[in-house]
Amino acid sequence: MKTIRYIFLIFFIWGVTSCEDVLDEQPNDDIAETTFWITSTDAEAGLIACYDALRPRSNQVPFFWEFWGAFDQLIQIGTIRNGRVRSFSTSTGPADDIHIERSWSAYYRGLVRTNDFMVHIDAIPFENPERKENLIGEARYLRAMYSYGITMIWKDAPYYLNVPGLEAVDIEKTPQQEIINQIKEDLAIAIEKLPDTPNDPGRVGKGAAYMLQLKLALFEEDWDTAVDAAQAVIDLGIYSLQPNYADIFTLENENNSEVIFDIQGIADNDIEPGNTFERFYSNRSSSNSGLSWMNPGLWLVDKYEIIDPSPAYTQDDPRIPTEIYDYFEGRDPRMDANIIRPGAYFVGAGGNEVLYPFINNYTHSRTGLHARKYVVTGDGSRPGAGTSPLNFIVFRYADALLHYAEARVMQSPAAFNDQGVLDAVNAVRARASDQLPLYSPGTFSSADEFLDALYDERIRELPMEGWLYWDFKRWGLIEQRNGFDVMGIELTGGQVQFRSSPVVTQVWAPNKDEYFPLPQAERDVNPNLGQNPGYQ
Amino acid sequence: MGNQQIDPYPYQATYSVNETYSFGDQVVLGVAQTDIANPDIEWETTTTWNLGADLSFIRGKINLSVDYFNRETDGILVRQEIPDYLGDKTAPFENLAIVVNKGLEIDVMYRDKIGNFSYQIGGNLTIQDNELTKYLSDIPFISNNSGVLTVLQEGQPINALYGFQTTGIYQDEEQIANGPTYGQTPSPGDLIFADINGRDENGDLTGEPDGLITEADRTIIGNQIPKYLIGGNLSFGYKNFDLSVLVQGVFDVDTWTGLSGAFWPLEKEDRGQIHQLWTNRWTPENPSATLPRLVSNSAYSQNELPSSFFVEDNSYVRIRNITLGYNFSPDIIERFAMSSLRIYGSAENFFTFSKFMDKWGWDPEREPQQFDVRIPNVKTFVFGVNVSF
Repeated sequence: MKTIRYIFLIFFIWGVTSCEDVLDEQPNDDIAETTFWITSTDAEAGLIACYDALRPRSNQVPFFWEFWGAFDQLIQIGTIRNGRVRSFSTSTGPADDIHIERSWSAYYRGLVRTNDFMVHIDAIPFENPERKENLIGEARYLRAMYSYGITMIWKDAPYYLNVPGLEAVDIEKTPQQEIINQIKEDLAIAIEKLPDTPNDPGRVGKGAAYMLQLKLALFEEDWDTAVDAAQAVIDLGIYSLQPNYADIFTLENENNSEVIFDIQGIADNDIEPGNTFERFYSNRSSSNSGLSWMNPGLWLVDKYEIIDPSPAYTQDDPRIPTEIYDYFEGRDPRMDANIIRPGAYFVGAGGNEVLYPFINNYTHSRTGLHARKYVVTGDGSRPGAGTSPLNFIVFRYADALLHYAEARVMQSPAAFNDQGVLDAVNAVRARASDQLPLYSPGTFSSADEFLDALYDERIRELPMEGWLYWDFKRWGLIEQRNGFDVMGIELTGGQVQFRSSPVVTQVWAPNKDEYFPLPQAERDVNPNLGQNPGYQ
Repeated sequence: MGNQQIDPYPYQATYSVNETYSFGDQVVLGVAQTDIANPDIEWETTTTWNLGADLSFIRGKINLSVDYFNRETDGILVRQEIPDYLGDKTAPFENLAIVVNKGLEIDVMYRDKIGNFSYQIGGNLTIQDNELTKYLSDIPFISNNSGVLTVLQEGQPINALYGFQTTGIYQDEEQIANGPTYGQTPSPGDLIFADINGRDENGDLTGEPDGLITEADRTIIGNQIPKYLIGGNLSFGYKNFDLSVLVQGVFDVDTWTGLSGAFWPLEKEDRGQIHQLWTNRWTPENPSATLPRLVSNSAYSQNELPSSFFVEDNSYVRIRNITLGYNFSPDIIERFAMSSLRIYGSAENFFTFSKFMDKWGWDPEREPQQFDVRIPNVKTFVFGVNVSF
């Protein structure tokens, strides 16, 4: 083997390096932990971040608090375009649904930010002590609002009042009652510290805190507190119904006298993206290039009383038969303010007026009907598709008035003939149309009859605003979802007609559908978090 | 050696100044903590040792090099999935795992010349074994990257694929009734998940089937680190012609097919197309199909859960490059005052041998993800002229 030449190499390399200095540098673009929460300016900015958490992290993710508007589509009102969310209306919603996950994330973002503020605020000196009290009131209210969302959607959930670090990863769930107790405490303090009139449009005032107190009291069937809270909103004397129902929601009329609290949006700019929710309400002919998530059904249309049995309408298009016009025309005008239906016009991008359903992709609505509420007409929401300058109203005065009537009758059934109770409902009806009959003592023969009318009034007044789903749960009506056929219209052979088969037949499973599933990804990390009943 | 790909200030929490809001027409500045700090963070340390031999035979005609390597990386920095109930914050890097990558690298080259014909044949083979030897946290590390679940588990390769083990397709109601209970009751034509684990009253894993299909039944279903890598390099020269071929391949590795917009139908019911593979889906008349029944996810969503149904062997051999060239003789080109002239044609990625690609039509080198729409490696053909003066 003399022809073999060989080289043999053996080597060990032990490589252990580190650069300790780099780990001790201070950042120069963000603010370090040790240099924040010192001045009143820090406190102001920290509170703004608590408001910012009301909105999704960026315009690329689904809406958040406004998601409640989509929940309304899971009851008889209609259906929702997104298949994954829609599956919750057939009791087959997955525990890893991304919209539920993102709502969860957003609520906890809000909870931690408000906690961070609350943990630090006491030690921060203010020149104006009243301002400090107001800010604490705002933070307490916002924390209550985030907590309310958490426990309404998931019941028992991780909960804390500090700013948790990694040590809190294996936290256990806090029972709903404890979360509710904290909400009550926060709201009581908020009411004490907040000004009657908000310091800026969009900030929290006393009215918002009373409204949340009212919602929580209704959930707990604490009718005394509910009546007091509703009365307190009315007694503030700063809110009034808008003369025209449709004007409540327009871009031109933001921060109007009816709005008690809303999530503010601004025209898209580099610093501050607009709101996300409009895109989920709007359609493909809208300037927001909408996604048509809200799919109202005929059940909602049927709720609107016919006030003119032989309306004078112009039949504009031979593709829409008379029976379709006859069905939709002559109803309570809130129907046309809430939905776009065949024979109605819609002003979309470019200011073009189009006859429905001859818009782009009307089929994106599974029921064939679209939302008009919260859709900016014309070019109003350009340029950013997915961002909108429109505000989303969380609480408004009409909601307070109807809750007042409901709470009064629940507190004392005989109140159904009380003039004050009837006036509250009449105010909402009279605003909707001067042709709607008003109620007077004697109109109803029992409290139950009154309540049925009141429930219908809430459905007509508040669809797609995020409260009806929770009302249905409280009213014990959500069970009706089981076996309910969502019906709509369709275009067949160039003709508009009523659908012959349901869009979806809803399913409601007891002991499951009262609450939504905890996100699977959270439970992967923390097996201490039990899933809500009925979910995998 | 440390991992350099981490944020600059992991040891302390910082406040972001971008959390703005608006009141009316006014944009207002908001500041909030958006990450969680890890004050105990340290650099990764890597300890490497190699044992190698370079051998040369028959006056350099055969060269052989053999190298055994063992690289242990301690305190691997990973961003643990932290739950969003900590405030929807960015997770800190933590020193959570020790990974050993060891194996053998063999490199062979043979070159010779027969008259005008010269040739060189080279090949290399790497056999590697990647193992996570220590995981330093009580919290399971399950990472969800666009629907592809991976896990850090002791005794497994790093980032092993994770999900349910499927054992076939339900054929009839009786089989479903006799099987485990699912969150959503399957129908004939749906995937069967293996019931292999459960949890006791304390939420601890029992390792025993419990008659329920839950997240506890998820397990290792694939390995993303190839066990074998091969490479080949052939070149031939004959008179003025030269030809070279570059081959590359991996074996014993898995990939994730995922819920492609193209592959998985009915994710969006009013759009999308259905892949032709679905002609071989389960129906009562086609009980031996490889794909489950066709159903919209709003009616039944469990077939979409991460499972071994989506895991495929991703071994492939690819002829990365073939180049044929011709060098003009100096006596011809000198007349044009050139010192060299070469023309060549080169083909990239023209031939791929991959069962995965044959079946799905996707490039085996793609990055797997749930909704799999990716541009594949392109085939290119280059014709070139090199001139020197």
